[in-house]
Amino acid sequence: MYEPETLDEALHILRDSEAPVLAGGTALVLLLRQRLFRPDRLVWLGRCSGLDHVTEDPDGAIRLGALLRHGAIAAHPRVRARAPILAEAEGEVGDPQIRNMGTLGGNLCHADPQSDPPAALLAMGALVRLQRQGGERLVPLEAFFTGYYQTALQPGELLTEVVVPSQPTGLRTLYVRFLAGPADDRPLVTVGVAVQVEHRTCREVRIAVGAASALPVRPRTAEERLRGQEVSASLCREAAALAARELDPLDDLRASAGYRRHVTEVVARRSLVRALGLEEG
Amino acid sequence: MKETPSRGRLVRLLVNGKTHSLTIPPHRLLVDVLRDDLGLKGTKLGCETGVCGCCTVLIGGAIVKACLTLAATVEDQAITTIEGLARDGDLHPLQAAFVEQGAAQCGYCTPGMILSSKALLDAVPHPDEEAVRKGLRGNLCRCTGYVNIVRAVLSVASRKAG
Repeated sequence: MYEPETLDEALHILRDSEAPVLAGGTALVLLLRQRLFRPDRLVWLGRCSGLDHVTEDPDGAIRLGALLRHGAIAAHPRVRARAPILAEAEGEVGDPQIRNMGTLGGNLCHADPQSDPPAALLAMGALVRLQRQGGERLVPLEAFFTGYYQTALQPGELLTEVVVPSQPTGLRTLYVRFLAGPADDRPLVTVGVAVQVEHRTCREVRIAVGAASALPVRPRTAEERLRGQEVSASLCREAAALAARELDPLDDLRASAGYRRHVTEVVARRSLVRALGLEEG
Repeated sequence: MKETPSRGRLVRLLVNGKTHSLTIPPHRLLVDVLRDDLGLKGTKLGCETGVCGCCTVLIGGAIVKACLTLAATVEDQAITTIEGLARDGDLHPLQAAFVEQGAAQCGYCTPGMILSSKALLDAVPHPDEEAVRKGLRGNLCRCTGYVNIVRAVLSVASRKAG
């Protein structure tokens, strides 16, 4: 197990090695135990400094180090003030022990669909910084997820930072997670909503649906239905129906595609109504 | 740069205030090292998939699941198992409360429950019932229905208010 102490050391190792990266271990250790894959080596980032910052840039963007634990993000005053939707989603991940162990970077790279942070981050238009020895790129989170447990991370690359851009003033955000059963730790559907309303007109809207499909998505037809329109409960109903229609839901033992689609519509409608401050019609 | 070769390296584990130097390969889990190398059987193996929480230990005061922790990654950090709570034979208030309130039936989840409760009360000295239940989300009990467990934790919390 390699134990780099700086980002440079880590990137140097990753340039030549296909060893998987271990952060908090909540996903990887389980995969190793279940023999789902058997790497020769690991790159453990636990000694690596400089990847657990929460910084606010002059333009208002928030940068989060990839090794921040879910619990630390949920409790961080700057995150709670500037990106409350993310603090809320992070506070729901798994359970207290998992929140003490798991990292945001690890969560995003593992890309388990049934996860909380992605919808909240998508609703904020977040990006991820992917670094390799000799270069880096900033990728919109929406483009980072490419498939079922798959990401755009290339060999030699490390996700080092999540960037939440500055948001328009007066933005109202909401995170909702739906559990199939009370003992579940992982959500079945997550919805992140960010809206900006001026004189009852929807100026800006972002809807993100996570957990229900192989990758988290922004249902653009639903957003288009709302953008520039006078808000109403019936409009939310239409937008939610469009979001559900646009979805390509997972179909597995936990729930059928039809059930996930239905739950998405209900949760999206309720989230929009709440975020817009309307009465359910 | 530090490295742990597959055959293992000498790792310093601080468990319940004592330092142990053990040769640990990178793949060994903390729960197995605690139970098999150090003979501390209070930390249990249950689901072995990080769900049930009976493997819960404190690391630096924060609860973690030892069945998902590679032992070599917690070198030099203060680890507390259930065996580390009692002081000179005196039960920790939470242990006493679990006894008083009948919060253990088979007792298998109990070490993890008590450690999670301790972490909760250390962070939130006066939680309400909802906060207690949320704090124990990572610990499953198949016997008690949680009622007496929650009652035990709340009884300690209210005592601290005095």
